[in-house]
Amino acid sequence: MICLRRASADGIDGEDCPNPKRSTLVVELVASLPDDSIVEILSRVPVRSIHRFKCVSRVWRDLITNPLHRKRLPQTLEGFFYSDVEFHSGCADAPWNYRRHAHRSFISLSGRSTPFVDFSLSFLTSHPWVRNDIKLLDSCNGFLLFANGKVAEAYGTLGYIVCNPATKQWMAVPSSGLSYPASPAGVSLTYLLIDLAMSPHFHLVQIWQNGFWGEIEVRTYSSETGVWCHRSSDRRQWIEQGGWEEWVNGAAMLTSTMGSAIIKGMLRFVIFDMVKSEYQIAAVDREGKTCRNIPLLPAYKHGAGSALLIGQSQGFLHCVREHARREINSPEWAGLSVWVHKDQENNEWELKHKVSFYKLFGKTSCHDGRDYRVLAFHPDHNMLFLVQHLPMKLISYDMDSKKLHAFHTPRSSHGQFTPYVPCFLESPVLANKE
Amino acid sequence: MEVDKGKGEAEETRKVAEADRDTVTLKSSDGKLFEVSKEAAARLSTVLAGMIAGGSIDDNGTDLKQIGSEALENVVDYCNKHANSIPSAALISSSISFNTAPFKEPEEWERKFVDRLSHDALFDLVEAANFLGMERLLDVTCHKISEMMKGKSPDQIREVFNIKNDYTKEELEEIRQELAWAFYDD
Repeated sequence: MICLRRASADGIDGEDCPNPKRSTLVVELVASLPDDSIVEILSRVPVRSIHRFKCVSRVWRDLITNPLHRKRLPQTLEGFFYSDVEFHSGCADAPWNYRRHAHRSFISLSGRSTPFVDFSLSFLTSHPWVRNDIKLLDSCNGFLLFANGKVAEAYGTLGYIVCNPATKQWMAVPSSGLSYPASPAGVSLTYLLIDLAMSPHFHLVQIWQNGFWGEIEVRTYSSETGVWCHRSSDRRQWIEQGGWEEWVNGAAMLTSTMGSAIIKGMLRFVIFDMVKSEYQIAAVDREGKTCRNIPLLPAYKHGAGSALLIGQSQGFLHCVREHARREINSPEWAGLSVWVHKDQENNEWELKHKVSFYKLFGKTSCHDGRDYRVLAFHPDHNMLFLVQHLPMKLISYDMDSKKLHAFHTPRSSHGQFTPYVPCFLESPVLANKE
Repeated sequence: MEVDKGKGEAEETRKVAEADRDTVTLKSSDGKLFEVSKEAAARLSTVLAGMIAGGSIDDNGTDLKQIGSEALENVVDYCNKHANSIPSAALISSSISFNTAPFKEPEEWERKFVDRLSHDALFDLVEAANFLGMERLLDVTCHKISEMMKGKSPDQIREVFNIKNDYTKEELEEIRQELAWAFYDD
């Protein structure tokens, strides 16, 4: 702390600081607090408040946006990593001989490029050990998780890569030892859990099911121990916590399309409970511990609404539901509803917002997957991100101002959009090697 | 704790002799002297630890020209309370040099300690803690101020921090519009 303060008192390197003279001014204007102490305090304030406090004064705005302080202040959503796979036809003699090419790009929310982040990931892909076709699996607090090659190959010998494109640091993680599900009905999901404010170490959680009725396996990796742990053996120990008993023993089906969220250190993901015949949100933490499921509201309780996606926003679990108009002359309202799960005790979902399809897309009959797809919740705004299929565009919808904003035309609506919030703090764990 | 300069010489000599053993005497910017346990000072402040190890402690009062008497009294008070309430092992393990070491919630006594302080006293204490390299005290005081800031409007923040609004009306309107999302409830 002391040395950071000296750095700012001496005047910041002109290249990094847009306004190097400003730091001396801070001392005069901000009561008796030097800028380092202000940043120290702001680093403990929610990201929403920090942005609001840019309105306090020019000095505070410059303090907050100063690249030197980026490391210490919480950041917000910068944009989405977009990835899809395209097929190039072979030579003229054999056009049927397609070559697979993994495409990856970054879609910035502001439309401006951020010079501090290497979105090309060239620092990573230039390494001889790293494959060209790395596949983005997950993002968490500024860090990205890749399969080193096609997803199935990560189960073999190639394993995973965890990297931070803002600090250009990365590290390889071996494969978990599980084989890729043999049945097409099998699902395997690998998640990254990291929060530098809590610990310099990261964890991977792999949830795996071989087929519809198979047992669900959970494996966890810790960068502290450097090994994968097989969690099924802990089953008996954690049975009273809920989870395992409810979803591991073959009575549940893992789903991969309804999103996930990390709430208070627990990874939340969606399963279909075969016994109750409803979707539930299961939970597992970085050590494989579980807690009670949260029911995802059966559709009949809320008209025709069916859950599309879960996610985290402002620390709470959110869910967006589709209310489709089934008949042309039906008086029934059609659109999306957003729910927030604040009441852990009573397992209550609270309706946060409703928006009609007419408002979003200019027509009343819309279906998830056919006409549009919900991509994500903004982690700090009351905002939803959607991709509209025809005409194809990315849209943000602000639930507070009720404003729609088309901010990008993607290559395809079927690619994968991974939200990215930068983290400028160097990690002592990522060692830049395989 | 506080020793006024004007006290009898004999008492002064006795105090100095005591300081030789297990306390250090610190002198505020306005010349007041405070005694604090050498062990607590070395454990809680990286700067004082360095001075003690380097032998640059003055028995007649180590000059801390940047710290006023009110803030220094609070620093000393904190060190004494800390010495009585927390096993040192917990503190040592939390100060391992990762610059975002997990923040532990303030203890009940730490909460009470900062709650009774006025805004000015709290700000002065942040500065003193920063100057002396007292990581835990800095954590506790900054945590308290960040709690005071929750849900506050820019106007209220200007008042608490005694800041002049140096935006023009047009600039403020523009930035206010850009950041409209941040003005809905926390």
